Amino acid sequence: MSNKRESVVFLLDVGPRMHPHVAHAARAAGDFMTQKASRRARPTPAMLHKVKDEVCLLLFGTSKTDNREHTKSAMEEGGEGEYAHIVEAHDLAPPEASYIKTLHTLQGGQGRSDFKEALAVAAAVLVQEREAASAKRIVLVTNLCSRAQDDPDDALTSCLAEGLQHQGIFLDVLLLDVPEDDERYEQDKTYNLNQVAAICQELSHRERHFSSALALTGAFPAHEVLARAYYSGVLSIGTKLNIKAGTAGLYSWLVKTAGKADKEKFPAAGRESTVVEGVVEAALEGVDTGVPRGREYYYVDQEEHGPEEVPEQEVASAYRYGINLVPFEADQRRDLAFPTERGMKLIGFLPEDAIPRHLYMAKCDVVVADKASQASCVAMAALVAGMRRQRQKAILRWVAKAYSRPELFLASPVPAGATSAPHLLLNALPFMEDLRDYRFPSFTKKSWEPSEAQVEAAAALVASMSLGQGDLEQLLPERTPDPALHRLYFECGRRVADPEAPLQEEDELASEVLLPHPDRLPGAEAALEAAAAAFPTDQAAKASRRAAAKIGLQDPAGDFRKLLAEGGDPHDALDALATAVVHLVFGSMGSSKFQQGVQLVDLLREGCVDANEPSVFNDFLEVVEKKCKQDETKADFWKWLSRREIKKIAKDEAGASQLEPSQAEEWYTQKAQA
Amino acid sequence: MADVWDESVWGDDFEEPEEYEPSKERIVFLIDASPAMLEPCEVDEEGKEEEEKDFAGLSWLEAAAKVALHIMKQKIISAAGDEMAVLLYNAAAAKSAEVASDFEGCYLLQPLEQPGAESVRQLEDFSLSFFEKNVGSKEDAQCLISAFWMARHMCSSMKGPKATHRLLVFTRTELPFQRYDKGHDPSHRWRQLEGHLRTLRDAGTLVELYPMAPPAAAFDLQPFWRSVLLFLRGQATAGGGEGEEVAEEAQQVFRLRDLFTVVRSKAHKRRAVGSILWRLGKGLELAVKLYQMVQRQRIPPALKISGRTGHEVKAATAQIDKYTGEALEKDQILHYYFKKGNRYPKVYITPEETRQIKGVGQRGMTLLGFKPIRRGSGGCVVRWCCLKEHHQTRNSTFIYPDEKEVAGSATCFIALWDVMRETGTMAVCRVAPTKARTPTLVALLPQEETQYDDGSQATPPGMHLIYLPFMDDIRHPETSADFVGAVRHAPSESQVAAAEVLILELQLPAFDCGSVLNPALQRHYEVLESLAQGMEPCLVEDSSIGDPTLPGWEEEAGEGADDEEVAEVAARMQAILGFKEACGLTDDEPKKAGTKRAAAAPVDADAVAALGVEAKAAAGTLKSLTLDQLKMWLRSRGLTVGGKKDELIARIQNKLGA
Repeated sequence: MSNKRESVVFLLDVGPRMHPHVAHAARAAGDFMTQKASRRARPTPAMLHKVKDEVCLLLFGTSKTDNREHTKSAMEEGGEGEYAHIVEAHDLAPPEASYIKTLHTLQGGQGRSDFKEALAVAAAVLVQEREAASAKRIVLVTNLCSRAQDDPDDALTSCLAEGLQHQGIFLDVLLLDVPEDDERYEQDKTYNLNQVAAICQELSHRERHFSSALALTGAFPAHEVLARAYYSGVLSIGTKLNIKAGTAGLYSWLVKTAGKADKEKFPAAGRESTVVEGVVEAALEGVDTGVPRGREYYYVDQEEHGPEEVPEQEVASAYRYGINLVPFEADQRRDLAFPTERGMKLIGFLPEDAIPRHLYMAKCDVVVADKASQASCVAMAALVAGMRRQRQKAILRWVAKAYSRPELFLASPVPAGATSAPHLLLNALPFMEDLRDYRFPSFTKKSWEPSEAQVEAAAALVASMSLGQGDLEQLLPERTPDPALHRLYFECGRRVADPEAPLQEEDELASEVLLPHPDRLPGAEAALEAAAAAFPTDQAAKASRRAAAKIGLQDPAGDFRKLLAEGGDPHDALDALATAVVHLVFGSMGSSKFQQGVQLVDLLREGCVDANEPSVFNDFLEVVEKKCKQDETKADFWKWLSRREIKKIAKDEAGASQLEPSQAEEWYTQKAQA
Repeated sequence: MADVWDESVWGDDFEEPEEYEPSKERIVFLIDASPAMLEPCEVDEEGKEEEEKDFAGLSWLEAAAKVALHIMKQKIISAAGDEMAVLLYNAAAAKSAEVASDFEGCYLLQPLEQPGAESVRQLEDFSLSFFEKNVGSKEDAQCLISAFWMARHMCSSMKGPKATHRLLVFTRTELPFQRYDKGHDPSHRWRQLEGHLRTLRDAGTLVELYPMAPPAAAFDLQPFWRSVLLFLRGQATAGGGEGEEVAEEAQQVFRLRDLFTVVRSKAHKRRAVGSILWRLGKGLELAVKLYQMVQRQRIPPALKISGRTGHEVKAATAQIDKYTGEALEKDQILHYYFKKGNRYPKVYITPEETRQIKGVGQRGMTLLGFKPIRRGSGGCVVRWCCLKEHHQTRNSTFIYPDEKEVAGSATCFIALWDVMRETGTMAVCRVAPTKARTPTLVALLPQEETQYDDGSQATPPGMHLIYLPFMDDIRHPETSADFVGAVRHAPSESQVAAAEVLILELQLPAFDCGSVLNPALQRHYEVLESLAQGMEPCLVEDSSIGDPTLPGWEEEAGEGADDEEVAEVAARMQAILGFKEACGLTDDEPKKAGTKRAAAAPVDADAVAALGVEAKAAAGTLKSLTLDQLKMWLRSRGLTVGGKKDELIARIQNKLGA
């Protein structure tokens, strides 16, 4: 990214094999145009300036043909076939509304997409660019599934490679790797990929792969923020050593600081009044229809001081000191400020894990050595390398401007990468006043303690819902677009194309980023269901806790016998045992507790028969049967029970039962066979 | 005021009321003034030199008053709306807010009100001699009962918005009076006390006991205080502010060490900033409460007052129509995007549509998955794996299960927390803390409970919620060739070695940012305090604040330093200078090469004279000169050279007095 003006040719594949993805690719292109239309420098308003980047939108794979190379070759040699199915939708210019309209009404074409010819046309557009000083870039968006024309001796490939390099053109390749397409057009794609590799060999380029069309919408950030230093000065260690002896200051070196991570603000909407008739038309004609804010002053305590307006010239400023209001004049501000000198000081070093992560405050900044001073660059590189080796971080004190407040920062070293300079990441640290030392009850409370089975369910959940790491990491912040911001620009784009367009009900990007997708994580759905069964909440939790208080999951049989021995109500005890069995079996991993469960079912049945409480057992059996049916991983438990021929309790065993023995038998055979 | 969402990063342009309004707190200090409290306090914990200074030479009574003063100052900075009172009991002289009714043996040092300059001064002036002269000590069991009565009376008679109450009791007396007369009959006094305690309990008042005993000495709660605390413990379960928590003795009794950290930790009562449901999956939702444990305490913006009456005023703003001057209703305003300067036409979008685009309205947290945060096994190598240093957009929030809202939350939360700690994983969730907030992604980091040596809690168990950036929030200045240059200077082995020596010599073993005071904030309030008391603020140089953000190490050994210290300083200086030499850094502040604009060429006096500016100015023909010629003349006179031609000419004429 350069601070200079940039000329970009945006090459978009709309050929038949891209058709399913054209809408998403166009949305990504729209993001790019919006970004270019509002590219600005940061961070201070004083530095804010518009960069008039120019973009040419080039479509290839279109049904029609309309581009300068085609016209030229047609004129020169009378050859009709060259550079066909490429359309220059918009010539190099700062992108404006018509670009967005084109993209929002984009249709797939029926022509063959030849990315090499498209690149050649793009290069031709950039070569004709008048100012040689500006940066040049080609952005290519395609799935590379249409084979480029055969190229005897790779003439066009080498010509492109040389030409692009000679012109200093940067190639930004966005490849859509949708698995179905890749399988279907494997040969063509392989050929094309090799061609791309050959072109890029010596070229400055960037190649990015996207696994779905939707992922393309995260290709371009909503704003491109230029790297601007908001502190450019010295980083010093120590102050004066001994002036008398003639030794001057210890030393310092030049550094620059810029923002690294800062919340991109959702833009505020402009306002205009509808009181004047025809406001929309008036606004279109450039009439200022703004809505300024008016301000009137009233006493805070109107009961005490009356409801009259306080004239503005009477209003003065004051600071609050507890109950007191302390008025102050403008010239007293200096007294209130803590005088500081602008500068960055190294305080010392500490082990890299000494400061807990949650203490980092607000945003993050980057410190790099000033490129103007070679010694500073070396010092920064050496310091970063030393800190990495010693696993250390540094504490810095930084005052960005004179009289601004001093703050302490934690500096983490980041070594040089392929394109990045060695740098320190700065995270502000809290002061004593900024911390709340709240205390909370320990998690050791008996009634809160999760059972072994519950911990297992949680472990299964954590394992199955892994979002991966390394290259496979999902929701990586660096690749996850802000759904609200992107949706705003997308919807605005739709309204540029059609001012009456209603909002889309659902935004695909928002659903992709902000909703869970357990269906894509193997085993996650089952683990979630198991967790839901293992962790009863609300009423169920209260009931289970009451039962658990009597019958624990460690030794349910023992607890049950103890309850009976203590002379407790047999009905309650049986109920509690039934609940415990359900928790034990359905709250555990797989079939680990089936054996114990079956034994407990026997015990429960026996107990119910003895106490003449058949309904407890019969209800229990119904519940178990239903649950086993719902949960695949527990289906076997029902088989285990059937194998033991466990039936409902009928009249002949317990008098209170409503069931005839034949009915119990019938239920059993019906369910056992199912 | 203390704990609200830091709105600065959200940048929402429409306002919605917060669902969690911060409540007000009233603190009453009940300080025993019996003769034992007048003895010098012995608080010489080992390795506590700083704190020792704080309380050295004070009596227990003064030490307690000093704690009250610190908390008061803290309140002024962080929660100015809260109210405080300081009450001495076992006092010979009685004093209360109302002249008519005195409470036996109770001296109200500071009535229950918002603290301000006056109350700070009063506590600052409090000393043993003041006490002996104006108050005096006595020992009477009835005083404690009166003190609770008075506290109860003060809290219940206050008007205003809902408030929580806290009583902080400082005493050295283990047994103020017998609980039982004979056998098991409660004594008359105990029944009296119970009456007051019951009222306090029913009002949800928290009582904290600070036994004033030296570190080694025991304070026996058994005969009396345990019963008091036990009696009051019913309040949390009976519907106190924080619900799920069953008060334990650990939350009611504080050790002497707390006396030192009391300023920091006890100045804030725990207040949740929100309560949301955490949805793990279908059919499984648990409730959590959100707490803001890290939040930059800023100098509050200046208020507006009427200069005539000195009372606070507030601005009522309205959106005005530019032509008619009328205040507009909400539905009379159109909202649009792409303001002037954009190359797109205006696009009209209603606030309702904006809300839909932002996806607001759905409060809560949804689990999306888990990611590793630790590489290496056994926890020996802790390195953030999926959570990078720059994945940071705002201050973290702490979450703790809310058992009261959804029973069973704690068990599920603890099970997850346990597994996440064991496996070194973090959870990734979507969060909208309130209805009006745009949903965003967060990482949840489990935090283990740790304790100080004396068993009190150092870090609470729970999870920290780290707000993750999106792609659009992350910038890459370190890769911009314009910013960092195209050339990479690889350091030599000796240069890295010099850096390592520097790192080893500049170690900060005891660094704790939580013990560094913010000098700018402290200075602001120091000056304000003086101004509020009508005094001239002291100069910064004479201020006791100092600058704790500066390096703590010395560059030369002080006078009277022993050999070890001298050697230490020398080694440090050698390391610093060694690194400087190794990297070729110069002594002087390095000059920036090639910045901004090239220095102007020296002015050629002859050329300037040849212009004949003076003559032309007199003749009014300065316009015939070029811009460069005008600038040359201005430069020769040491004047600024910026501006348009007309401005330059005006400047020249001004200089010549024309």
